[in-house]
Amino acid sequence: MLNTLKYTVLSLLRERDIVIWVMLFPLILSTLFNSMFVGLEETGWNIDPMPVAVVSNAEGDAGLAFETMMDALSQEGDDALFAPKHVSSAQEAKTLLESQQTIATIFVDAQGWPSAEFSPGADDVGVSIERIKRTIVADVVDDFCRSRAAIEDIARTNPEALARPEVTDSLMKMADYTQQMNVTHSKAVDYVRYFYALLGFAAFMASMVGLSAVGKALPNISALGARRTVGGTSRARTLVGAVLASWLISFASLLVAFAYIRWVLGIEFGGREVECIIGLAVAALMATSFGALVGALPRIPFSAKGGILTGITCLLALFAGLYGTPSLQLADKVANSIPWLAAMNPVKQVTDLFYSLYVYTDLAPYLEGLAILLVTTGVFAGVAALLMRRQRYASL
Amino acid sequence: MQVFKTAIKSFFRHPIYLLVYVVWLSCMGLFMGMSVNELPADEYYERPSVAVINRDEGELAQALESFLLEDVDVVELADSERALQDAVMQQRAHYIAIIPEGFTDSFLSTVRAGDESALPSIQTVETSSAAAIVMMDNLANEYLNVARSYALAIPDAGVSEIVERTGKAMGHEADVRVVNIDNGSSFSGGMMLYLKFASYTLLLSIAVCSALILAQFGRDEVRKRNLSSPLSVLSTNLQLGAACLVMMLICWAFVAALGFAVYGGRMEGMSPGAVTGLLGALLCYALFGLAFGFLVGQMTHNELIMNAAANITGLVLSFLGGAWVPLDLVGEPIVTLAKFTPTYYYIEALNSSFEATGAALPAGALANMGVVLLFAMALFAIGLAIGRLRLARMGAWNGSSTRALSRPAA
Repeated sequence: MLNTLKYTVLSLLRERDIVIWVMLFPLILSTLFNSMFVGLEETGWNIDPMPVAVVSNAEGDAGLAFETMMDALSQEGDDALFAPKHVSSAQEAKTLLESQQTIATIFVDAQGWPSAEFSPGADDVGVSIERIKRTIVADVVDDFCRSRAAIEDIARTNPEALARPEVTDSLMKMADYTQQMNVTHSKAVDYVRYFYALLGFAAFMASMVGLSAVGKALPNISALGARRTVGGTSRARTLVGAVLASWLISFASLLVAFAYIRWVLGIEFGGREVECIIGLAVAALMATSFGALVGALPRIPFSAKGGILTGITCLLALFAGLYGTPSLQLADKVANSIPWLAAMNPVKQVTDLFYSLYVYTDLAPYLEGLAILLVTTGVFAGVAALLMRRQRYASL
Repeated sequence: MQVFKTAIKSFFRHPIYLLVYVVWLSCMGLFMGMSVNELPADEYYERPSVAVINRDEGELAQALESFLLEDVDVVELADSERALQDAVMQQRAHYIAIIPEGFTDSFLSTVRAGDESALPSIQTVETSSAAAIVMMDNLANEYLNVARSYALAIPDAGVSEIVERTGKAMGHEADVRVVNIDNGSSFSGGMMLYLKFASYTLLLSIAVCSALILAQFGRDEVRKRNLSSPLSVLSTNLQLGAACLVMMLICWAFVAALGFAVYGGRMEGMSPGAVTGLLGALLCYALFGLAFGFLVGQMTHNELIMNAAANITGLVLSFLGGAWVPLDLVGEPIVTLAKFTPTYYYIEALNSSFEATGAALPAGALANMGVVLLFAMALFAIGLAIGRLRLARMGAWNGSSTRALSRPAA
């Protein structure tokens, strides 16, 4: 069996497609993710001053309060929220809005009350920074109206209160009444999830290794398999050796990917690297047994099996959140509404294994995930073994 | 037409590729499109999902809770650490606020005592939705600021009066109107996501299928046999090209038909120009997929490598081109890099197409489609060059230029 193991490892390492899929793929994609998301998190939200058109119909000094606020919010510097353009007519403002030179028009009426006009566009899908910007404009205008309503109410009820500095200070200066606390093991950031989903995808893709090794050991799939079957080594020893070798290669490839993501790209795994490596070992075992299962499926040409594996992996990865923001939202939605479906998705399970290490303070959810993966492995291996037993080849 | 027929036959002899790449991946696009909540046309704002854990029975805390839960997606959460971690892990709530016990009483007493440093705080849980946190924090601060001002301005007012007056003032929202620009086509977010995802579907399916056909004919033995047949090389290649084109059109028609069948209902009133634009952009990207498949088919005959090459390229292009992550969320260097991918122009073409009014296509859409076609032509040219080099290496070409290439270095 040791010989089988040794030569299966050697032959797998010489297969270019395996190397591309299992080793190169996570390295390429994680480098891309890193350049796309990580810099963004570090620089934080950096919204340029938002272009808005202001049409003022205020009479006398009625619009002064709003104007003062707008001036304060658009002072040149890093904190400027708005870049207002004062225009004289509604038509002019509409033209600016339509040509997307502004994101909103703010009208100030004769009494100095502001109102806003927006025009949602075609690029408003999923998380849209345009919609966030519009929300900010609406919030600022709302805030002004609410504060003014309160001031007017106080002026009517108890006018002398407005002479007291603590009241005017409270009305003019917004204090911070919120305090952020962290309930998770590590700082909650979205971008790490793409790397975890990528590891889930890469782990499942490692089933290609199992598929290839089993293909070389089964007599009805390759000439090599046929020769090995009539050889002196028992069937069980051949297969166990092949599966063990696939597991070793898959695990080693995943370790390379993990090491690259963790130490070269510097992505956090909640400081629980040992648990991650155990998780990778189990994930590689699960993938290998799935590869063996697909390899053992009867009546499907071997060349098509690679396609089937890719198709299944892509679909499972969609529900694990690999394909960008909408895919992540879809994965969350499914996991929230149909948890058993998420539990049956091995790519999601591997992804969640890493994320649970990152999020939860205790290890119970991680161990739960590990147990689910081991059960999945058992099911795959059991079905594969059943399929490989007593198959008849080229019989009369 | 023997080569054409054989090529088409060999394509249909691999139904698994058709099923996995064309049908399966299109369905993935559909799932993705369905995950989008179709927003009403007049919804202009970001609607976060919010959970409030209120540990205080006081009137102010209750009123603040109701205020924070207006106009948002309300999420119910249990008051435990595990439930909070679950909510963060599964992104169930963008914003979680915890109002501590005794908040109402201590808020009013500290405000009136003028002790600013002792003001009680609402605790908010750190989630990954930074924008929602800023927006909701602002609302909470606004509410409490107005309540505080009332508490200071009307010293003899009780909690009920403060809450009532604050509620009234906070009800003074600005009038917000949404103008639907009348020259835009009706829009479906789901369709847009589906079409964006189609950049991956089309590239992968067409590239793999065409590479498969070309690789079948490109195997050295088959190629040598075909070259020795009476059929001219030009005719063989033209027929192969026609077969790949037919296959591409099948994939394109399937992806487009599925999209319009599922989302067509939500796009009623769409202008003919917009429909033409969407179909045209999809076709141009399909041609790019074909050119890419041609290139891969010239480089390798190994099905697993073809799969891997198409898949990795598809993923990288779709990510980088902004199909899956809005480019306004990534940094400037990535946007610059995105402009070197055809996916970027494909998505720009889709965006411009939605703006079409009459039967005519907007100039922007046409220009972007043109850029996608240029990418396709560039890849095709590289593929041709590689094909010719391989042919030269086989020694099957007698042209003087390739003879020079195939001659071993002395």
